[in-house]
Amino acid sequence: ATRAEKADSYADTIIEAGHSFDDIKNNVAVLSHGVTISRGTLLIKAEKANLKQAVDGKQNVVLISKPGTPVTFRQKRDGGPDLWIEGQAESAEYDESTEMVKLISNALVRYLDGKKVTQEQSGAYLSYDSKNDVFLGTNSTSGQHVEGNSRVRIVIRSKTEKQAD
Amino acid sequence: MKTPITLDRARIWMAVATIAVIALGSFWLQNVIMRGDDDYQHNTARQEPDYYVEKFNFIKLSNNGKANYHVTGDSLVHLPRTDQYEIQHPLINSFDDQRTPITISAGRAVVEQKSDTTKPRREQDVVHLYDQVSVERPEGLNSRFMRLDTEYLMLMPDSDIIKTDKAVSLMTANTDTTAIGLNANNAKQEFELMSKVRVHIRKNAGHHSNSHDH
Repeated sequence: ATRAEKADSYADTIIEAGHSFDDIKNNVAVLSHGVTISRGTLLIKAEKANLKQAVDGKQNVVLISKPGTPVTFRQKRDGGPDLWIEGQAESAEYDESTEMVKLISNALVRYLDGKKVTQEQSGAYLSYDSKNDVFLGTNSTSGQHVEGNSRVRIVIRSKTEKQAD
Repeated sequence: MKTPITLDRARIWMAVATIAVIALGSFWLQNVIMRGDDDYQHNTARQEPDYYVEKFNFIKLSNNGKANYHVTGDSLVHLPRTDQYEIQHPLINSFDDQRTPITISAGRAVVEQKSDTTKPRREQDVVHLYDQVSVERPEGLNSRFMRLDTEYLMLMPDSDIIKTDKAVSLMTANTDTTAIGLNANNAKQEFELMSKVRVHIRKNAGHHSNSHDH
């Protein structure tokens, strides 16, 4: 099975940044000068992050890269001692309620077994649902398949048998 | 023979007495003014405090008559040379019906009041807080619990701003944050952390699920 590290969903979130500006009235915060967000085994790195807290307290984070240094994320996968998933893109969005990571523009995602890459997918838009381990790649940055665009939309399922939940 | 006090003579004596009083009065007045100047010259050169108050309660009213902020402390000392007040163990309640009540405590405070005579001129009241400074805002209707701790904090109550360049630690219901340097504007509800920001968002804060007690 290639489920994301389940424990991550219950872990605390640690955010580090070089500077933060919190507009409390509108529940919006801007973190900048290098940002890392970690939660259990999930680690996200970006130059800047715009956090918006929903009424239920759940965070929505838009991550922005610095030219030349993409936004990156990495997370351990269940189903093996050293299974990982890594991704990068020019910008990304992480939503705490859906635990979805969206990678937008020059997106690249790799499944690794230790250091060995077992699968790789690149595209204009890639989204990774770290709770249900559903991975979606499309050929337009909107996340929708656009007829006539050169890329093909691919949904990847892991080859090994899924564990019964 | 006793000279009779005739009416004229009495009137003369009255006039003389009145003049005497005026003369004395002006002499006395002039003296006070002179000494006043002396005091002032003496004061400005003077290092030690010129007055102090113990166990006091200082309430600053804003123009609409409501309490703007309210300071209590163990002792308050006025330092004439710099026209500052130094307060030991101040406790400041900044409250105003439009805004959230905030309680601030510290080991020591130095208050510089708005003044045209100081050089440079002081546009507004500034309160410097030192040694185990803590700022606490209660959980309320339109406010979330917040507690801030630092070693130095500058308050500008009139513009509702607090600032420091020192390390701060900040606790709310579900987060623990540390950083270096802070600039917070309570009126605009803006909160800026200047560097080395670390925010720890506790997952199950609030609802006490027994499965995760950490």
